[in-house]
Amino acid sequence: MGGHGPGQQRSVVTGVLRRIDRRLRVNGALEHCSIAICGVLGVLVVFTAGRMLLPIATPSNLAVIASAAALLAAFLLWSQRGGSRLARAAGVADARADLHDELKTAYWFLGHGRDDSPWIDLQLARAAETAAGLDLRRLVPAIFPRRLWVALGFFVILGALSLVPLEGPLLTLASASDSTALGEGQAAQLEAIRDLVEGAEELEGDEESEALAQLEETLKELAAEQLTVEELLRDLREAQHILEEGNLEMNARQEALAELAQEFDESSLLGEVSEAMEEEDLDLASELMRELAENLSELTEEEAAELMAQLSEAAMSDLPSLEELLESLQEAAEAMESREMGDAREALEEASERMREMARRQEAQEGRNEASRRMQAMEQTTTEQTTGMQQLLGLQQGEAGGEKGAEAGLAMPSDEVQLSGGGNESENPSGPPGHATGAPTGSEQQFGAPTTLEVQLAMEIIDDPEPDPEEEPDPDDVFRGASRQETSALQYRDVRARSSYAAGSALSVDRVPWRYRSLVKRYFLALRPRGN
Amino acid sequence: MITEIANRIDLFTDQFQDVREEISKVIVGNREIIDGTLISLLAKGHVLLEGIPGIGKTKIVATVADVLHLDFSRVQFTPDLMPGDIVGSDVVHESDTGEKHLAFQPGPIFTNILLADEINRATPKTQSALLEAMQERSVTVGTTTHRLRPPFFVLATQNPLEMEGTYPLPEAQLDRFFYKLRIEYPEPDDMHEIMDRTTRREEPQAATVLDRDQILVMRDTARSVPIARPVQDYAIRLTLATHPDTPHAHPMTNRYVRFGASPRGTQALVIGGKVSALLNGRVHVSCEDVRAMLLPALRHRVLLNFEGEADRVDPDMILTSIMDDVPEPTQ
Repeated sequence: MGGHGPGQQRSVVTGVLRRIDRRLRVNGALEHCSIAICGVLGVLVVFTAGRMLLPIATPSNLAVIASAAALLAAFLLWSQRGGSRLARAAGVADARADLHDELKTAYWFLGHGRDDSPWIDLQLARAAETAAGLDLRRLVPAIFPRRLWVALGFFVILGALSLVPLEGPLLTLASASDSTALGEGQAAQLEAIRDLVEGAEELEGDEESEALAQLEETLKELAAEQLTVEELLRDLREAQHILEEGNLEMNARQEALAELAQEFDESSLLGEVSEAMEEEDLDLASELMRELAENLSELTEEEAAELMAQLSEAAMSDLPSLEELLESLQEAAEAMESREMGDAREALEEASERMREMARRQEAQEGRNEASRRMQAMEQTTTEQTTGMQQLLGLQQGEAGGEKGAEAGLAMPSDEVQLSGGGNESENPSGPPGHATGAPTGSEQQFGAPTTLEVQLAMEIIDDPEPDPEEEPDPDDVFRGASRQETSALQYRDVRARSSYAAGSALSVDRVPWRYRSLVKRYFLALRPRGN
Repeated sequence: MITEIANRIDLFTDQFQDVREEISKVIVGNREIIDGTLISLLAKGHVLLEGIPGIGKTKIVATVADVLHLDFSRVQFTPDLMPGDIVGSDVVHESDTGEKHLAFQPGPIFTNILLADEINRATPKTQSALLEAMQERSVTVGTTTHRLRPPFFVLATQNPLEMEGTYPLPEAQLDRFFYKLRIEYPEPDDMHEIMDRTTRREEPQAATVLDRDQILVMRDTARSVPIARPVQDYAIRLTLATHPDTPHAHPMTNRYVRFGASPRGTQALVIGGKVSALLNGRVHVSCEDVRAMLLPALRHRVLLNFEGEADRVDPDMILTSIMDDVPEPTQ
């Protein structure tokens, strides 16, 4: 026990405490590092997922890691300030080794104790002996932070996220909101439409149509990433308008053909041609007309006369959209009337050729219409995506974010955006008090002028009523008044003292049953002045 | 020197153990009561024993007196007991020559161990006669102050029932008791042992194992144990937590306590902690020692307010909450 001198005891105790402190620091640093790693990986997972889901600009992974490392280093330096913490080490050792504050007391005596006290010397000697016998590895084992498993989980998630392909429905939504990201999806659709229009134009032999030129220009701008959503929508609408221009002519021609088919319907020789025309199968009608021209010389007199009369009657129809066809039929009728069957045959063949040409035009217009429908679908999809992103941005960034998005070309066209504000109010000052007037704004304009309610507020002076004789007076006034008038034998200041005494004595009487004690308590608490 | 102190500590522990064992021959169970009584004796304190009638309060005191080989007096406190009946008075003496003079006749207080049985049955005036003796270890009669011979140890008992016709001890007098010990009803096994010991032809007797001088040495030894400032600070914080409307006050204190423990309470915690440390073979006081003394040392020093009285809150409950919530020193 007394084998060590006081100096040795001091060095033994402090030496052990330093080693405990060092182990505690290492464990603490590991714990803090695990927290930092966990936090950084968690943030990276959130950022990565956020970038995939939302159009947000997040710092790069490297920046996050560098910032966290710098912060961790600063924190570790800060936490290690002030040198060793032997008192804490003594406390930990006492608690873990169940030493009943022996090392804590010894450490305090080392710093503050009286050197001439044999009791303290004995305490230090015993503490040194205890400290020397401590197994520090068992007392403060190196701890692998369990939080690192969580960090490992984050790391796996991060790796899995990096393997997710960038193309996906959520990414499409994200890219639609970004003007510079327009191109890949839209370009593919536009190219398909361009091919469709090109095929239609080739049917008519017109290779440099206006719609085709428009589409080619749009595709070039998309490839150069110089096109915003707004511009794309505008180009689509223009091209669509051009493509649908031929519909009017086609409809008129179809109506005229139907009328002509009714004329032919009465003829036995033109019956099949009529059916084909009614079914809008102009190719078949053209073929049947050609066959009729080739068999013209084999017709009997009656059949030739009937055909001539039918052709002549049809040629007299007032159908401007079939002018060329009717001219051919007229020529054929006239040739048959003058018994020049060769000329009649040529005229009918020419009529057959007119029908074939009309069939090609119809097919070309149907191709244009198909292209127009696809453009409309594309326009609708793009608009919906843009609207969805605007709503999302509005939720995330509020009104300011919405304005920012509009500047970046993400918002709807400016004429479609109606912002409520004070502008209208300033232009339309409100009416007099009591009139619910004001300029109708937004949706109100759709329902006409609002109704007004003729109400006029008026200030009315109410006289101070007479005091109610049944109203309860202020208790303080009553007590003070009674004391001033000397009508009460008890001063109001003494009420509390007597109440307190009565309360105490009431509870100290055993006759008050237990179940009634709460009543007594509540009674006297209710009597107690406020604030006591 | 260190070896000598170590021997003193061993001797202290052995003697305490001897006394404890000897008392246990007569008293069944009640280990905490016996230890608390002996710790109070060694800490120069007095003990208030509280318990229902018939559970051995007086028996414990009598046994302690037997074992300690000290002068023992017993005073049965009644409403008509006068202060002079306790401290003594000047009486007229006649000498052999027929000359008359006043001479002081010491009362039962002039003893080493005074059993004040059912102390709350005497009037406050009589109760206060004990005040000076308990604190100053002296008695003043007229103009003369008489010193009491150490050790002077008051063991008072009171019955928590039958409050009619009693005079609860005033706060000043309660504060002079080092410990307030509560004797609980014995367990069934202890009851069997009590029946076995007390219904025989011969009851067990305790032998005297400690004399006055040995007790004084043990007292000196106990007070020599050093205590580190953080542990002492812990004892102070525990005490301050019983003071309502202070920064250290515990929530339960603010609700139920009217007055907290005095510095005497902290003294009881520290000195009791020192004896406890010695009994555990240590030469330093730990927070555990302080906590072990908290209930007996402070339960009678925590005065409940009206709400606490009305809800019949036990001060032990408040102190236990304080013990749970006041943190140990972290240095």
